[in-house]
Amino acid sequence: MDSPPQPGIHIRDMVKVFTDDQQGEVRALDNVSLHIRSNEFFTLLGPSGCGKTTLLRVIAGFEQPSQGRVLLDDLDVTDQAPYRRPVNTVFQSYALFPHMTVAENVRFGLEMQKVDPAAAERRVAEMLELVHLTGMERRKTGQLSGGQQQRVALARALAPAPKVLLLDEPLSALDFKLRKGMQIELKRLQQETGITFVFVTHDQEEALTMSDRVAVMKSGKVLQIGTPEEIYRHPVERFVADFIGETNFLPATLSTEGHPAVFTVGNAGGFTVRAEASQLDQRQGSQVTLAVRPERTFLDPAGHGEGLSGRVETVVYFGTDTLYHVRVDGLEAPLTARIQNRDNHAPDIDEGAEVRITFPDDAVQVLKD
Amino acid sequence: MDIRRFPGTRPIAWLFFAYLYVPILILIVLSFNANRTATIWTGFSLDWYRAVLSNNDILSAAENSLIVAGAATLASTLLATLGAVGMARRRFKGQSAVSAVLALPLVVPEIVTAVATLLFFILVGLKLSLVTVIIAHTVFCIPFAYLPIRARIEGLDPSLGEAAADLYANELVAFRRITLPLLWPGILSGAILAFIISLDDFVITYFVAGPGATTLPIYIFGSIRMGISPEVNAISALMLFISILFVSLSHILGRVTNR
Amino acid sequence: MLLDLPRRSPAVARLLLIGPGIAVIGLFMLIPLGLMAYVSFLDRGAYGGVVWDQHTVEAYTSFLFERNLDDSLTFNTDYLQIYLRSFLLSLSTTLIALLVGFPVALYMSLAPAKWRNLLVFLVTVPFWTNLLVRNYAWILLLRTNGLIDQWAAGLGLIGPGESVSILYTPWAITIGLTYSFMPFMVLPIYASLEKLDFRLVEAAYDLGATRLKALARVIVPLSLPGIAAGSILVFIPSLGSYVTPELLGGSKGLMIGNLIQLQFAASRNWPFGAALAFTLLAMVLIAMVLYLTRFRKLPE
Repeated sequence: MDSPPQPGIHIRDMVKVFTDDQQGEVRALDNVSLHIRSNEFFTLLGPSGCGKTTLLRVIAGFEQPSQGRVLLDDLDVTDQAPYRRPVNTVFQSYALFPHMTVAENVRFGLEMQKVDPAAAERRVAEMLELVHLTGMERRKTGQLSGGQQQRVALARALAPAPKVLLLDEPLSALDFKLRKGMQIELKRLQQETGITFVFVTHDQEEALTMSDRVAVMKSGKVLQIGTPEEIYRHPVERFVADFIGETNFLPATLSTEGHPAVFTVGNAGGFTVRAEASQLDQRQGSQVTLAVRPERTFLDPAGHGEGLSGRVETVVYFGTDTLYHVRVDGLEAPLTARIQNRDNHAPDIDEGAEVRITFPDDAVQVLKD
Repeated sequence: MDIRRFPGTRPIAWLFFAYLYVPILILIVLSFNANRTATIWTGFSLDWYRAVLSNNDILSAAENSLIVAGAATLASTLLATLGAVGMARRRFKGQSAVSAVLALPLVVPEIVTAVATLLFFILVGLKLSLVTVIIAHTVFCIPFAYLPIRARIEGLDPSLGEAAADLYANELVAFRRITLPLLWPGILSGAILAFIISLDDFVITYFVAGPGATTLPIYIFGSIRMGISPEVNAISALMLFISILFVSLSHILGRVTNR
Repeated sequence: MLLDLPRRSPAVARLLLIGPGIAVIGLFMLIPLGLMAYVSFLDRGAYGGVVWDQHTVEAYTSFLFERNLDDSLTFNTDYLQIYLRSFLLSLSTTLIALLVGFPVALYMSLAPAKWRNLLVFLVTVPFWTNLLVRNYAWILLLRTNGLIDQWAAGLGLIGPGESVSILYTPWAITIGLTYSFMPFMVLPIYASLEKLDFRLVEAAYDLGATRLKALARVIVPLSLPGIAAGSILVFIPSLGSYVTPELLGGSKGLMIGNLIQLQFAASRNWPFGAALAFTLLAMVLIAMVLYLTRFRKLPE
């Protein structure tokens, strides 16, 4: 095996098989390879059971992979015990030691590393200041609120100055407002400490707002890796487009090959869009699916010219914008258009109105199904 | 109507608790009775306790009981703690079979266990003595020690061990610093229950105790056979006090939380 | 390295942890039970003990038949009667415990939360006290000129010198067994009632059920697992009881446990004792299996 070209975490050909009484063998990780760069905020995103937590636990050393290697910088740590890896974890349940105070919890990792007591004391104070818990040193962890416990867990994991911080859905137990606050807080901590964060979540919004890069996972496989913008604007698969944000899916036919290629939308014919389809091996006449975000789907109430013709089924007012669900002949699901409200007034399109639907060429993403 | 009340259940519950406690209370009251006839109250006296505490047979039986209960408690609690920690790790094939074996002493009627154990000792040629009593007691104390420890482990966040490993504690340190302190109330509670169960056991002891291995329950049984007497009242009341004291202790420990 | 063992080889670590306990129970309980079954098929020695190389079903035959001098067999119901009596006494104990235990458990489960723990504790305490002592207390109450006689005379229910006189009767045994094992009925029923979502009962009232209907159609069916567990937990130790019939039952109140004990004391008939014990064990295991297959998908 050649040495890694860049520092960071390298996951190579990772397979993890669990044997379950009911389901038999489950491949929680199915040949996953990826590279997490040093100092980045990297998110593993996917629905429950997609393998994201298993991957995190393999990196931490809690699970032995069935196959594959974990490299941390230049070092193969696959067979290393968790207590030898310079990696710390913020657990979903926080896993704070209930028989210890806040300070004792934060000091634990330092003690295990035999850090000089005076230095450890300073480090504990520094960490508690970092997470705004100064003054709480002597509290038992059971007396803290959920948000405070979360901060203790963070301070405890950061205190030994790990190379990598693993976070397993750490915000899932917090209420909405607290979660929003902690998202910003985590981003700040990552930037201040410069530590690589590997963050596991099933919340696509959380992934988009916090991460430098996101890996979308499903059934033990990584479907796509990219910056939040890449993932949002250029999903490569229907699953990714559907899981992240809202998407309209449209059947289309490739009418002219080329860069960009020309597609005919819908079964009625006539309406064409141009889009890049270089990642696909498609011939003229093949059926594809196009993805268009609702906010780039436009409605023309006049009802003339190019576009798909449809009838507005429902209008949902959202304050800043309004959602229109439009029924188009030949399409199974209605299309959604999100239109910004001016002066908090919805545009004058009523339920039942006949409209034309259009979208600009650069709003169209061609999906492999 | 108060929908959370079922008329009639309250008096039945009160009668039930009276039924549970009146005989015990009467025994305790009569143990302080001055009268020789044991059931006719004539006045308060500690005479029978004095008689009990100066009776050498009772004292040596008490000593035997303490030796047996102490040894059986130590052995069974150690085995139960190891077992509970082992069972708490990942689920494995045959786990329910192991659970069933651990619970076996609770299911098999005492008299059957007594017969089987007696035959075993005789046939392997082990002379009946305090040692055979200790072995038999260790066996039936295991589930009593095991259950509170297991319950305690079930109540702990399984990530705690991983958190310790994540923070550079090796298995031994993690056990000493995290697992053991958190299990301690469960272990103590289990040990106390094992101790009471051993101290109180009669049937199995009756079968496997050799000569000179008379324990307190065996002595009490012998005395009851001879007829009721104020001394039996006093020693019985003492046994009650000890049991109630220990079970209360165990109860308090069982309710210790980390909050 | 030893420290890495649990991670590298969890199966070995588990064996080291669970192994000793299982080994002790296996060696000193499972093997003895097997041995007991084996002994029940041996011939008894002339002066007690067993003859190792003589295999026979004599012990089981003598349970039902008496061997006459000319080696013919006569049907003998003495032992069968003792088994039947034990079975009936255990059954009535279980029924009484259920009839009293259910309302008690219901009352406890609906008591304010702060009282519930105390009530549970009060139910458990007698279990942890010495069984001999608890039965002895009933001798004090039930014997001729005992406390119940004194109270009854005091209230004028019986004349002075007369006796209610139920010690050494099946009534005394039933009282003693109920007293000994009642907590085992109350606690499992309480556990299942406490888990019961009371909104279900409210829904029943809302749909027009009276208290009795709600009880019969919602509460009792949902607490059936507890009722079954409690019944098993009372029935099994009652069936195998030794102390209560020994102290409260007198010479006519023999139960299975006393019969078994006699074979190892006065009669010195080990194979017969082993056979009786093995039969009792089989009855208990059958009851357990019936309970487990009906009320639990898999034993935990």
